[in-house]
Amino acid sequence: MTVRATATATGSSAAAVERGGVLQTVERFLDREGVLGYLLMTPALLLLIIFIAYPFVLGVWYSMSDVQIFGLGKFIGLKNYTDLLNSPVFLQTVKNSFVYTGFATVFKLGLGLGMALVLNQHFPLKNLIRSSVLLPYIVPTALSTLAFLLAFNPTLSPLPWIFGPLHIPYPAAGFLGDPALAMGAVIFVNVWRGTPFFAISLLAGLQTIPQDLYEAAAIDGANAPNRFRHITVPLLTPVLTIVMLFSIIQTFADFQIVQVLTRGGPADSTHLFATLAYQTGMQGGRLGQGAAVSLYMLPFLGLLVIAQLWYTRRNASR
Amino acid sequence: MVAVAPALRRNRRPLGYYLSRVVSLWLPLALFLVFTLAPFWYMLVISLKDQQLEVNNPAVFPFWPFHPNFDQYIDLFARTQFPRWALNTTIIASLSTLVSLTFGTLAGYALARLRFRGASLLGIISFVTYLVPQTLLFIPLNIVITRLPVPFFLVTVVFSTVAVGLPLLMLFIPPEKRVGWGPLASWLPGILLFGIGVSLGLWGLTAKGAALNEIDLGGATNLSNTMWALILTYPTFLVPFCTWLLTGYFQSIPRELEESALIDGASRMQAMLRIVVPLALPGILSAFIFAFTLSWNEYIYALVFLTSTANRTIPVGVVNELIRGDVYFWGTLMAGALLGSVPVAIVYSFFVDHYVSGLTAGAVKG
Repeated sequence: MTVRATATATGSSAAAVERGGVLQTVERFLDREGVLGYLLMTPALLLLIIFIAYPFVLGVWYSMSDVQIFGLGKFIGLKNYTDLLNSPVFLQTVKNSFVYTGFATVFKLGLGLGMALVLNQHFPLKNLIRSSVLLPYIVPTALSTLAFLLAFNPTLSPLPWIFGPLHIPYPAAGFLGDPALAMGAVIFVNVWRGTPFFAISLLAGLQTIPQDLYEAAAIDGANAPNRFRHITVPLLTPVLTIVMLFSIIQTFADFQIVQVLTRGGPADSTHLFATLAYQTGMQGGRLGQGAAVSLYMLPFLGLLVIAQLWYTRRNASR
Repeated sequence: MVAVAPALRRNRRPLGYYLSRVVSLWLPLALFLVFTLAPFWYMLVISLKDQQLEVNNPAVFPFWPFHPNFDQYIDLFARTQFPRWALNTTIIASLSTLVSLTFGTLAGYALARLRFRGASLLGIISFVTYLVPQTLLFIPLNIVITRLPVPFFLVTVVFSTVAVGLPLLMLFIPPEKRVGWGPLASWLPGILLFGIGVSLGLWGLTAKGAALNEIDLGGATNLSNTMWALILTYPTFLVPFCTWLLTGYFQSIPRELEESALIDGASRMQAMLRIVVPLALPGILSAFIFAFTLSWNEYIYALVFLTSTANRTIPVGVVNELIRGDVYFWGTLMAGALLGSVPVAIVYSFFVDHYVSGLTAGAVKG
């Protein structure tokens, strides 16, 4: 096999010498690592330059101009940004975003870890159950949120059927009519959607922990809570950190759940950066200010991305 | 009897075991399953219920269809543009997945195997752009879409096709045959790809393509409200993901396999396509499933870049076109939501393991 291949290769190089030609020179030039590397990166890079880098620069420019739907607008410096800082709606949005992200992440982490520990045991139909648990995460969020839109409806909600026997009064305006309850409702949906992601990722993390560690600890007399604290937690921390950072980025920049359920209402109590940017820039036509709202996410997102990058690389090099 | 008794005794476990099993496994498992799956059951029930008798009457028990019928599903297909949205979503998701997988495979291979200046920086860039959420740039991106002139778009299509086509042409023809076939034949695959790319690009912008997009392109000079707006922008978050996932997969394949092929006279591209890519198929499959579900589910770009009812994708169409005014047709809405979720659920159910390995690739090493 090798002999034959070598023979062919020799034959071809003989042919190459014989024929030579521009084409072969080009081919050989393209085959060099330094050249081929850039060549293979070109499509991806071009795409990112046109549709990420260029819009980003454009967005920074727009956020510093008074552009409406048409034209380039004129340069107004940081006015959009300072205007926003004086806007109660925007300040509310900043607060909402952190409340939303904070509570949702804590619940997703707690429930996800619990779910992972439960799913890590042996039980009948294990694979089927494990894979069906991930459904909320994989189906279109905008569509699954519709179930909650009806569930939180003031008159048609099925929840009184659950709350009634438990003697919990169902709010007259539904869950989406009251500011605090509406925030709770959107957080709930986010937790519902995101918990499976935590659960399945952490389950994968749990499965990489060698079983004999637990056995050795058990022989040494460590009880279950101690084994959890001294084996599971430290060995799961890398996975947990990466999953959590990733989830915080997604949650902080979330759009669909709030857009479908409340559109930021009632009284702007559930607006997130993304929904406010959409309302200001797209529906209100104030593109500059809308771009500024989005870009206000950047410092926090940047920190998270840097943390994620640093942590992933540190883990990879260890 | 005597023989059975010890066996029975060995299998008998103390009552405490079953109790702890219920508390630590079955009870929480049941609660979690109800928590995750109840909304889907609820959607199914609402979509099947008789709308007048049941859905709009809060006095009827909500979690069971007592008068089930398929009227809502029939409505969805007969009275709404749902079939059209399904077609749009399929085309958009398939094409953007194809673009992303191709670009991602090429870039991933380059980052995993080739030594060139700036490779590690490019790796970081692809990771960072993978983390950039869509909601950060949708406003300026919409400006790019609405103002990107058609010639510029064409140049983009042509350029990227050439960039893909050039290396690809070296894949299909063994080196010893290339020159012998004559220059034209040896460039044929590249030329073909190039042609396909250009004609797709042109088709999307001409009257024929416009007929599918149902827009008047007579005076239009940009991409807004065409499927191309999404087919070109979805790869911005899919390509970095595919690149990053596949870089890891390619790195896990032993170099020796490739090097022996290189020594035997194969070109880099041949070594990649014939040896590395087949071995990385599980990874490519993961990337495919991810890219497909992500583009099927995408909401904000589709909401902003496509403006006419007929051009909607399923998530935007169902949410924004079926909710109109004060009257909610809940049954139709839920039917649309369920049917819109079915394709991703099917793709997922076939490739659960690949999906999960892609999902956890970032968090769990190996």
